[in-house]
Amino acid sequence: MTRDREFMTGGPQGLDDAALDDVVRRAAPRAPETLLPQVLAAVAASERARRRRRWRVGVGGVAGALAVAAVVLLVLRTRSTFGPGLSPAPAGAEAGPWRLAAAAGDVIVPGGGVGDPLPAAAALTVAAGGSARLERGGEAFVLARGLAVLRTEGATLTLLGGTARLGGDGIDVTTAPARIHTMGRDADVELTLQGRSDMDHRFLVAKKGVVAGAALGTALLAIHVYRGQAVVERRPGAPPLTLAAGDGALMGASGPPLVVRAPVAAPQAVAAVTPRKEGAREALQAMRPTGARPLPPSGAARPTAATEGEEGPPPLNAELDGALDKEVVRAGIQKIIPQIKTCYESALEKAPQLNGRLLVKFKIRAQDGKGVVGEGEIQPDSDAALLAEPETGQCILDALAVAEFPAPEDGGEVTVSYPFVLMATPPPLGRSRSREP
Amino acid sequence: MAELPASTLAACRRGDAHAFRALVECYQDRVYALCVALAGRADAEDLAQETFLRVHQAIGRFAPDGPATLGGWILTIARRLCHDRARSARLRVEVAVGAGLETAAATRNPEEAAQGASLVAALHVALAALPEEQRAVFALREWDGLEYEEIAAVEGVPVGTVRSRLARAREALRTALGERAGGAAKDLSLTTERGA
Repeated sequence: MTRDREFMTGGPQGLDDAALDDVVRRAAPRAPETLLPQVLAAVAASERARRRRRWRVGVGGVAGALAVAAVVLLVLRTRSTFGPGLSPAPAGAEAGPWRLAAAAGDVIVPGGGVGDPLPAAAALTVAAGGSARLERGGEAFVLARGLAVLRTEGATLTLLGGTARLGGDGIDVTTAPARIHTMGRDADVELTLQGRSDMDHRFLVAKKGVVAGAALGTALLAIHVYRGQAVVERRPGAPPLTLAAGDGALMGASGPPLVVRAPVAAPQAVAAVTPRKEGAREALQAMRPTGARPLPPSGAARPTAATEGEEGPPPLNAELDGALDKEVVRAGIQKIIPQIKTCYESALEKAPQLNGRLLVKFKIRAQDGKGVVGEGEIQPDSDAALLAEPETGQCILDALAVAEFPAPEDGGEVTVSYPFVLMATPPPLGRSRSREP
Repeated sequence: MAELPASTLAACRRGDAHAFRALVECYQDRVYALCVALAGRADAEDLAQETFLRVHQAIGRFAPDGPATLGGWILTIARRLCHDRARSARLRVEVAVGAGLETAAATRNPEEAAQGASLVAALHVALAALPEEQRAVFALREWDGLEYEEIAAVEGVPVGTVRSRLARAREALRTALGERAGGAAKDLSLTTERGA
């Protein structure tokens, strides 16, 4: 019989090659269907773990320094040397040379006194206990407390140490850990840069031993945003960080920043970097000036303001009539999302369940080479709950009024209908703070 | 054996998730077969998964213009993982049950299917009894379709050694299956005679 021959041709010693090949072919294992999804899931988990490790390495390197530095700053900073926040810059103020508007205590300004314009590049030194207020057009900054040295070059300042408080839109400050850019006409941002020379060596060595060594070699920058917002640009390649009013950040010369968000949170599109340990959050709190409102609870719900269809500043789902690209309008709107969140949060205090879609129609017209919002209104086809809160709508219109766009290409007017979706979302389960890779 | 298109490989190296999925689909059977031969079915899936994880992490370092093919490179990773697993844990000798049964049943009558499945299972048992280096060469050649030169590169031995290991493996399997087939054939003959 055929089947007998097939299996018996090899005799007792074995099969022939053809029979063996046939068995080998049929015995070839096939990967189970579960393998592919398991591999893809494992790869995804590995990627997440890799990002977490990168974050931990960065945080681990500066965590000790930050903890020690926070203690030092807590000791040094017994009171805020600043009074109330800087006055909002007047609209349309002309930018000119920096001037020393006021000085108290020991202020060294080579070649100038109060009221005099500063040279293009000026180094200022403010001794402990002194302060100096400098103004340029609608922008201002105050140097105070400890040694602070700045060089003024146009609207760009270099902070080598000490404390500066910035007011007005578009002030660029370069520090060792980062470059900070103020945004919003009434921006009010405080920077405190602690370098090696600012540290109390004896205190550190005596109290913290070896750990102090790390702190001494690290320039530590604290940022507090009182009004407006600040964009923090770190090393090349690192994504910028946007801080909104009430936010604080602590940054070392290396590693990612530690950020504590106020309830008026920054837009989700700019990922929040928040401390993983409560100690870092307390360190930030300790660095806040006297009188500053406390940081929000870590598990607080974060309001979101988004254009329709997505979280954060999404692709523009808006009607646009005129010579301005939609993406350009979207980018302009994105910059004021923090202010719009502020509006929404204020509304939530009165109506905790408030949410919905708000359609805003506004016009952009050319003025002084820029596109400014001339007039705007809330559209009646918005959600009724939001229409019942006219203050919220007005707040958003006010935020739009400071938005900046390029001038319409034809020099004319552009009409935009823009939907904002406002909703309060709880923090993700299992972790109360988001984290940046 | 099919290789991944160069464009897909390039996308893989750029971190394209869809391209990596295509890579896994292209090589999963070959990797899994090698892992079965070297570590048994119980650990094969785990080792294959680990192999592709390593591939994902190292794909950027693979040189498309280098001497190794992508398939050979991936199987080298799998081979080393299986070797490490064998060193850290005593390799279990597995009795395969039902391997190839569906294929055999679809093409043969019940008696042949039973005997074919039995031979497939017997091959896995006999394979598991071979030395590791013979199992590796056998799987890389017979199931993964690698050329002798590629196997030599994976194993790090001369081509002549590959040939001799493969010959010894085939001879051992032939003998083991022949004895089983002979016994089974006699049983079948007896059954036929009784039926007649």
